[in-house]
Amino acid sequence: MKGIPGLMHKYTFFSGKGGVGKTTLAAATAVRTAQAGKRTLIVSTDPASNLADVFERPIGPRVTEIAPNLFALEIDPDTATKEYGERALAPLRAVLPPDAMKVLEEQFRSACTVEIASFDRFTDFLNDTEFDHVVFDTAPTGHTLRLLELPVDWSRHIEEAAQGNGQTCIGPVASLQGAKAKYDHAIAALRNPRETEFTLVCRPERTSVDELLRAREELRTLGIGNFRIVANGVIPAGAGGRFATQASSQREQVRRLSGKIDRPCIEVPLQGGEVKGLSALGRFAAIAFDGKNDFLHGGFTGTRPYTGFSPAHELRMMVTGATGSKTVVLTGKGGVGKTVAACALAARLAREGKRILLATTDPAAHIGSVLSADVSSDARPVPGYPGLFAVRIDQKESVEAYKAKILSQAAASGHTGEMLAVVKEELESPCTEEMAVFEEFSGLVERNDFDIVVLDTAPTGHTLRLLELPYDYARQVEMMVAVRKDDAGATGAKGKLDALVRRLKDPRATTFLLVIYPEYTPIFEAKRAAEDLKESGIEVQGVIANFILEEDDCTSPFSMSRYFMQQHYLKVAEETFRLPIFKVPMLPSEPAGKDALDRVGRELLGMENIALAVLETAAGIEGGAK
Amino acid sequence: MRRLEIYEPPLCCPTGVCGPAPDPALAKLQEDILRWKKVGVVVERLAINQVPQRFMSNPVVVDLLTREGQEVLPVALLDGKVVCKGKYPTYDQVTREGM
Repeated sequence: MKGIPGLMHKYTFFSGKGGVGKTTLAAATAVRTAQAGKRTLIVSTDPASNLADVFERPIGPRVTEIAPNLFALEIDPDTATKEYGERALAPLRAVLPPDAMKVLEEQFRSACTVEIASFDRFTDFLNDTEFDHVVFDTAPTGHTLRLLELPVDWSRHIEEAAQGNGQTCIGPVASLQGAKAKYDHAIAALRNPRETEFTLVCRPERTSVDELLRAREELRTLGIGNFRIVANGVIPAGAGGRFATQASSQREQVRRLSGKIDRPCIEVPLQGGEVKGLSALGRFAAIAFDGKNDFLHGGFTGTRPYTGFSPAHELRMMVTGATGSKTVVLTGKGGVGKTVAACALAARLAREGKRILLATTDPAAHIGSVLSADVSSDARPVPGYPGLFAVRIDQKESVEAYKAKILSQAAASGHTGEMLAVVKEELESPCTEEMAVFEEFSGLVERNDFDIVVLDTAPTGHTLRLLELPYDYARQVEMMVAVRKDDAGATGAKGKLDALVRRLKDPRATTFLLVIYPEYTPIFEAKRAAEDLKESGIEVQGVIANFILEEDDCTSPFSMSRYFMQQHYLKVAEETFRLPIFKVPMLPSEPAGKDALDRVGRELLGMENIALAVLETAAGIEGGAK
Repeated sequence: MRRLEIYEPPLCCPTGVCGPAPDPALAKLQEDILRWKKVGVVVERLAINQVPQRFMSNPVVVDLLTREGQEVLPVALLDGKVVCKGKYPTYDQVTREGM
């Protein structure tokens, strides 16, 4: 990776699928430009930020100095919302009594304020005058594309509203000229190749390369075009064992990627351990940017093999449940293998005769490429897998469906053409998208025409937000019910939202599983997610540990270093979660196709007949106890 | 030209369609606004979360908020005079005020 990113540009973005190493590369870049004497700020826009993990120190929503010339900050949606609201609330405090202020504050936590506030905060940093270099460590692709679209969408919405009704979700057009100027400036900066560089990062794996290429196209439609392409985690020569097969498929993917880009693809080697802390980041920067011949070891040599995995039939009992239809939600950091685990679970259960719906809420979904099937926004059977249906929530399609529904409702209740035009204009608000996606999501959870709905979710930050929405909306509607006493619409919406929340909280109706691989960041991101879920009354039931190496894989210093690191972190996972841990071994190649999925499915669920006996016994005991 | 200012509680969308339960009262208001505009009334909608400074700079509104709390919203002022509080004004209510 010749040439340090950020020495030429004011803004450097790191973007890509979850788990590709965006944060590590972004942090190494920031360390490097700070050392080169530039006043550098690194900003994480991921609601599930890993900056604190990588720098090994708390960071948070304020600009924090972490080394000479080096500053960091994590945009936190809650803090951003509070501050965004406070700008409006501060002057009112002088007049209103505290209890009235409390009601107002509560109303400021509406779902769309949260999104607007986070995005508004993001554009602040694209209007920066304090730093020489700003590095953006972004959330996984889907979430980030949305964030980058928002300045464009809001600027356009404000402009259109000015021609029409003069009102937008964030205020009358007349009061928004300052905001519009800020968004326009942000757009200009993003599009200016002399100001901004996008480093698109992937793993040299098929799905990851595909996602990078798709993201590049989407960014181009936003007018963004200055890219640097990085393939991170290239397995070093002589790694041996399962790594040898992987290494050859990696080479093929790097060749494929190189054929589709106009500049050389920059290859960064996989290390023996994690890259954490300022000194390791400095060394990693030298390896990645200067091609220095160096290698970071895991440092856990000699750790005793981990033996605490739970048997597969326990997972089977969790996901098949006792009676009625059931939802299984898989969540975790990007790149931990949620999608493959979800596909394998769904395919295996379908093969055993159950009617299964596999659904994804990830805007950058790739269940289609794992199942080699077209997956669209209506549930369709997956060819080659009898009993298995798949569906994905498509943001754009959800919005169109939602708009059509609202407009036809408005027309049915006798509104005139002019009035319909106003509603239509308002539906163009970027706020609508979140509501529309939520509607689709709640529709999926409520489906009862399948035995099991398996939900493959977007990486943590995005998913926690989606799962927070029913609570946010329920609170919002509760206030409406209080104010609009005889409004059947609000009462009906409240009943629906309450039922959804009850369903998510009921461990017999919904099973939440965390997916990790045994390293620091996936474990601690999952831990924070579990804590967040617990606050919402949701208990996680189990952990799927992916990419597990066996002792006989240790055929080189590289694979040995990684093996021992895994043993260490499996123990850490056990102590952190105190939940059953289920094992998925590392496969020699990316699991695609029926046989590979079936193998993972068998690892996860075990054989049906053995489990059946256990299930029956368990049901007997449960029945007897009642 | 007559001027109708509507001081509103915190709002997201002006008709609420991007929230979980669109408010029929907001849809009704929107219809009335279209009618007022036709008879030459200039209508301004001001939500407290969006333009708090406008609330603060109007002594009538500040006074109502201080005395009656935020339940007094929405408040409608026609040329500076209160025509209704605690609910949205109707078309007839405003036109009765000597249109």
